[in-house]
Amino acid sequence: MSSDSLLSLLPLICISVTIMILMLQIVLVPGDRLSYWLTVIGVVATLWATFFITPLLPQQATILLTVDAEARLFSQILVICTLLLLPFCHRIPTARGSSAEYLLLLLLTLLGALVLASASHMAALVIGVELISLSLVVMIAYPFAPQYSTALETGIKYLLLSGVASAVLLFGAGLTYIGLGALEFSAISQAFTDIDLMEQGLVLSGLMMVIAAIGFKLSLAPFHLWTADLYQGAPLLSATVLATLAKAAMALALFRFYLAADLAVLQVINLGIALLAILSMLTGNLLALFQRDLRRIMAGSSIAHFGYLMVLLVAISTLHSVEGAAQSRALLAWVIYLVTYLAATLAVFSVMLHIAPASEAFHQTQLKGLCQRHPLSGWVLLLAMLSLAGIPLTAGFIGKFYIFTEAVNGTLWGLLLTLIAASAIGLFYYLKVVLMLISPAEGAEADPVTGRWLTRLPIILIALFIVFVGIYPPSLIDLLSQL
Amino acid sequence: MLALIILILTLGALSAALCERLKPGSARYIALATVTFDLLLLLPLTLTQPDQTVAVGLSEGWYLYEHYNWIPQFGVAVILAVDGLSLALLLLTLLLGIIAIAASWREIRQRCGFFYFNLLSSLAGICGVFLALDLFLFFVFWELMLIPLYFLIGIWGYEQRHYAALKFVIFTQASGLLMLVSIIALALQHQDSAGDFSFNYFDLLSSGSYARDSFWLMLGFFVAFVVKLPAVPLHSWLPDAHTQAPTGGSIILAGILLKTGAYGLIRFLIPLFPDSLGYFAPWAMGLGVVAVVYAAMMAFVQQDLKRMIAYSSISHMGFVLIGLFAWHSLSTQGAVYQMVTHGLSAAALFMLAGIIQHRIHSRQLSDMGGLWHCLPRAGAFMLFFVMASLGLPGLGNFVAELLVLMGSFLVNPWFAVIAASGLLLSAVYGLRMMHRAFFGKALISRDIADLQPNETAALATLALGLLLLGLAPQLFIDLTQPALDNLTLLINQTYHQMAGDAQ
Repeated sequence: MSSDSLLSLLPLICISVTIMILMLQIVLVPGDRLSYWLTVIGVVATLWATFFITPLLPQQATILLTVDAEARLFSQILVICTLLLLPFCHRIPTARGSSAEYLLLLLLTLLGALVLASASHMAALVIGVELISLSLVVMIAYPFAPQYSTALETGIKYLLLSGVASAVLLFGAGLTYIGLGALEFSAISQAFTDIDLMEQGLVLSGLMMVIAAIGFKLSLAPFHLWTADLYQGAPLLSATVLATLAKAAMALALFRFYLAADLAVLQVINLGIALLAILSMLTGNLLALFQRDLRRIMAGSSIAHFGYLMVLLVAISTLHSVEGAAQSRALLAWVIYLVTYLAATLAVFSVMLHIAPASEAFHQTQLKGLCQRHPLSGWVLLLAMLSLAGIPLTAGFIGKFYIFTEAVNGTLWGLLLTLIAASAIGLFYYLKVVLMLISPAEGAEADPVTGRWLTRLPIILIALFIVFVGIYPPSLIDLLSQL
Repeated sequence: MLALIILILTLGALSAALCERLKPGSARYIALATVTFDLLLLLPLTLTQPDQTVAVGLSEGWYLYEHYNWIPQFGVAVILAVDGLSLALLLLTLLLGIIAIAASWREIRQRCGFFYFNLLSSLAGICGVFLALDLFLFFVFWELMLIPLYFLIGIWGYEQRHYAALKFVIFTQASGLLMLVSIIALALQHQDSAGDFSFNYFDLLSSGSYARDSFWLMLGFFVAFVVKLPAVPLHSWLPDAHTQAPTGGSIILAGILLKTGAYGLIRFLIPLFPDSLGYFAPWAMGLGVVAVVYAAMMAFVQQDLKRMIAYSSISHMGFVLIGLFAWHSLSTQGAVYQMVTHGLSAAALFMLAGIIQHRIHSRQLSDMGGLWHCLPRAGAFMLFFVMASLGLPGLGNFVAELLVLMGSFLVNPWFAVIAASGLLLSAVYGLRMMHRAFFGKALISRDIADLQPNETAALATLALGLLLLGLAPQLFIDLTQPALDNLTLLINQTYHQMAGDAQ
């Protein structure tokens, strides 16, 4: 291993060193404030490291990880997402006196996410997924003060289901190995044509299991049943990490896996993905339709949005060759959609964290008149809802436009019609929230809401991002297409 | 300057929202000043001739043409241009904008700043629709104008406002997405044939006829436009939305929003898919005839005054669909004429309905009766506009419907004959409404105030407009004819080309 390829792992090293220092600090010089600022410095250093390694790329750092321009971009997205979450982790109220472990778990999640961002081997995929899932289990059951009544129950729920998913992932990887004798992503499609029919069957079912496991983590229907309970039952902060950082990392890993293994040529797999897409788009939106809790609505919305993303994968497969221009365009579409979705989701959760960090329910009526009671939160939430619904001049529209373009290009008329129908259903609940936000405040709920100044910063940044990208998309497209 | 028109409205909207916070009651003055200023900015154009030097692509007859870069990666640019057709509709939009502000002057008392913000931004979106000549930009405006209208209906509407507002948005947005698919497909096919990804109107002209799946792409546009128009069977959002909207909102919906659908047909669908006039015209005209007759019958049985006017709107917009797809020089001109005259008369009728509701707190015809005694001026105006909308000679609507019927009779006599019964039916339901509301036994004994000066002024303006259009039609025809002639020229070219290809 050359020094260059070692150096290309600098972001991972940075975050690991931070974790180590944080552990020592917790033992030797305990102090919440110190832990917090150590974490901030560590994450900022990681962001810097992702820029630092640019001239070295691409590098094959061990057989597990390939650090290329794509991996660097993915890492940057994930690190920036974590940075935006950090203000909400300032002085977490815990029942244990110290909240440093929570920061530790957050950093571990980020580590897993970064591993996924540059994974090029099944083992790296498993390591990344496990790092994220296990940290999340603890974060969900974490003893906040006041205690979430459902936190433990939700933690166990997630532990069991996610354990099953991980087992499926491992089993799938094993089946693939039996058939191919290799675990590198790039070996899969190359070796596939050389093996006999029986082994092809094994490999195909193995790959389907891997996709199903990732689909579980992304909460694609029909693996979505845990989503709404988790979004609602978990402490808000942990639900936010799950909904943004963890899901983004899984989506990026799936995309990397799909392209590197060249799954586009395997028609059976794509049929499965198309089925997942249709089911997710419809189920997600129908689930969210009559929910009253904003967090359950967001759960449905996330199922649907990852369904929209799956349409993109199917579109890639119809382009036959995923080489050169088509691949970079598909990559761009994927990243732009994910970034715009991430921004909107982050905005919704930030607002919830800002105005009611400790509340167990987030009933729609709590939102009534929010635009008057707390203009910043109200308008940003409204903006985020419009962006999720894909209204023009918000970032969400640009993402949706990319999906439509790729789908039309792939002539996926059936998926497009489902997409349109699902969007129409989606409008119903997004706009209901919007109406709630702008209707006049009345009664006891008319009290003004207050929030801390520190948590205002990410909200404003995200809102500016959504508006700016919506009005002037070339900025984001240029930024992301410099690969 | 065209970008300025949209920009002024947007800035006006923002400043109305801000100033209302500083000084309550100022928003409506700002709104009025903004729209009036915009109107004055545009009016001088009517006195000039189209500038032949700004001829772009195949077509001529544009007054102004502007081009700014926006998203070069998709080949999207901000292309704004105005010809006689756009100009006529822009003037209608701004005029009805002023009327809507006048109608809301006293009616809206809560959250005025936000109300006028929404009113002005919906006007800005509608102006954008009439100006945009880049299909992506057109779609952006097309979707954007709906959101402020959603707020107008959802916040300031009547009893069932939430239901009506949601229904309105879902119908229009879902159909809009179908159009988006068609737009993208056209752009992608242009990329295949010409090499660059472009949404430019002039690049894509008549490309739809040569496209793969031409029929389905055309249908995507057709559904989006026909939902707005609206034609049976996609009309069911309209009676709800119009009935529940506040008066200002109803005026904008009936007066202008419906015209964006007709405008889309004439500016985009037919020039992009000229051959649809061949294979699709009988179906479209048939839908138009059904709308004329069915909606007129529905209007007859309505108990709710606003609902009745809403159904009469559907009936009259059916003539536009017939006239456009007949694509005879007379009927096309008649369809455009109908867009403007119906805009004026429907706005006036909705305003009067709002005035009555504001005074007797009911929209039910059964609660009215003998209103003429207490509201003589309103009654006189109502009689005038009912007469206009049932096609009394001498008023604008008569010219419009006559032109449509004459043109389409030459193309398809049977449809014209059936559609002509719409004139008769509109007399039946119009006079019945007049009779039940204003004559007969007086049910209202209370003293209620007749028209306020601002209401009188607004209604008198609309009445004058209809008189002018009825007595001197040539003035308006001279304005729009060059634009329509250009479109016809373009379509004939494609026809000949396609005939040549076929040989």
